[in-house]
Amino acid sequence: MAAGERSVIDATRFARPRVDSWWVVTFRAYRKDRFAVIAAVVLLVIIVLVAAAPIVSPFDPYEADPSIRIMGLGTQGHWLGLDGQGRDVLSRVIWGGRVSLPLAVAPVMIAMVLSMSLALVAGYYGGIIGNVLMRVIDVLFAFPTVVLAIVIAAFLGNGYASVLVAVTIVLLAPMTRVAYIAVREQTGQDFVDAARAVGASPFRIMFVHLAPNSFPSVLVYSSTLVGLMVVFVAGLSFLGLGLQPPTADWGLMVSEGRQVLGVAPHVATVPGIAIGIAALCFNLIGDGLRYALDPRVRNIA
Amino acid sequence: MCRAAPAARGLELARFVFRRFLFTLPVLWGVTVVVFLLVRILPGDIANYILGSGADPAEIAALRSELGLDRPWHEQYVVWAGNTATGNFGYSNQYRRPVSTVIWPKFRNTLILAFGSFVLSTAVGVAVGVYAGTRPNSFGDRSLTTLSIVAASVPGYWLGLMLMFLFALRLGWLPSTGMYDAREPGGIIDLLKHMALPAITIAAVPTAVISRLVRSAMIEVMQHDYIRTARAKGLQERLVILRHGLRNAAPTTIGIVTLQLGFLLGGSIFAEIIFSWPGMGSQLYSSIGARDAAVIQIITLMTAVTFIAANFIADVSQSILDPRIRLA
Repeated sequence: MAAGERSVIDATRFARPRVDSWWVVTFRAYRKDRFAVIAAVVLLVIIVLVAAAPIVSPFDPYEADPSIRIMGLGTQGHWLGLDGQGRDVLSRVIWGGRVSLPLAVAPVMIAMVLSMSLALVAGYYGGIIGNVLMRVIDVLFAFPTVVLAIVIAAFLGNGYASVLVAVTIVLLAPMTRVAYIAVREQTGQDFVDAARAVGASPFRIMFVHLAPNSFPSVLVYSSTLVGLMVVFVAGLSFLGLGLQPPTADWGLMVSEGRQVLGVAPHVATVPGIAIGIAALCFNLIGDGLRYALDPRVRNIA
Repeated sequence: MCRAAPAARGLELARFVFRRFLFTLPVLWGVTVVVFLLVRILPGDIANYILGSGADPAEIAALRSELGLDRPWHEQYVVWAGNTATGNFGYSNQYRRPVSTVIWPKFRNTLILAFGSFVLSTAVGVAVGVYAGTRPNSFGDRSLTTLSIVAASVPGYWLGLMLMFLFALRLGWLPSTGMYDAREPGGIIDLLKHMALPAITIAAVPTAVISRLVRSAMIEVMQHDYIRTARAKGLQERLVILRHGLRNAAPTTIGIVTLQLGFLLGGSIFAEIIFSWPGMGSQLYSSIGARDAAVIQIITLMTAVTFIAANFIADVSQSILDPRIRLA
């Protein structure tokens, strides 16, 4: 820069080099994964359809017409057929998403917050508190997930709440482990000592310094669990735990279809495919996020 | 690294096994506490649970003292743990006989089914993983990888119903329910026929997961210099893959495979219920329906203990294959 060309200070000399935000970088990496993008679009369509159920659903999901029961695919006006009681399967699938999808996502979110908090406390304090907490998690980890959730849901009784609690508890063990490892990687770092040296409170260190740095690992892990939970929560309804008939729910619909499997296989097939597609979308999005959020993989591409 | 004398290596292994065993003890203890509390800490009283709502208060009080529920928790735990450890699992309200006579045959049947699906998912998963991992990004690899992503998203209970509809109800090739033919039960062939559909149902997701992870393990291993050396000395590609590739991916593979054991135990619940397999899963389901708390408790405990034991065996076999683990 030639001296005197401009006045004393050239502002551009002190401007920081343009750094894209974390969101932009992540989005750009995510966009490269074709399957993940398609899955996100499909999931968005599903969510819009399900949210607009009162408008898009052709029939009342609870209105039964026994005279046309178990009529198959392609029946005039009822393109996905009718179930064992003569209810429109398409309408029930659309309304069912309003129950099945939130019930799969909510426990993962709740468990994410809880396990992050537990891991912060255990990871920051270490010592007896940390050890006791993590040994309790080890014990929970020793139960096969499905068995533990079924038994807890069974003892808690029927309803949304019991499914929510049961699934959240079983998610806590693996998620807290992942979060704990992520937090422990941070606690030894200089910025934590620096924060402590300037007198930051433990609460501040945990939630302002440690949490944002360890959160991505937990987010990545959680995103791979949502797809599993779509299948699993519907499975609990399939077993008759939690939600009860006549609720329009994908798992319950598969279970009701089981009764007429021999004569009308579409009744179980259709909601099962809905579960599968939703789970597949979540799994592909989870895979995409994992690559997008993992700097080691991201920077190679 | 110098090669230790065989005796010293044996000692080192024994030390590892012992130390690993000591680690499982607190977890085992914790598991019994959780199972014990599960029945007591949840809302509602166990006596209420057994007798159902609207039972006579006097009846509830009688059952409470019969079950020892009026004593302090720690005393109850000691009594319960002592009984359980000596094989006295309590009394089943549903069957009116000791839980142990109900549960052991079911446990055996579940192990048979779980073993079948374990063999199936391991064989197929490892074969697919090795095939795809030795030719990454080929057409075959891409198709199989896509298939495994789809398979991992399929609900097992739904897959079970579809298999039952197609192969049992429509084609009539395989029986739809049970473990042996009711009229003429006939040995191992009959058993395998009944086992095929539930075993495939359980194995679907673990197979997909195993194949994906074995694929990436193989891709990693096949990049090493010793693979190039083996090829350079003119070894057949098949032997390069088996002796040098798969053998070095074996410790990872065993870790992956055993991680799926919990999934097998859990997934077998759905398959057992759908195909009426007389195992612990369908027993758990029927006991929940009958509010048979003692049986529910023991099934939970036994699956957890089986799971812990499987992980223990996995760690030990992994350490035999890869001695570096012992030194960690």
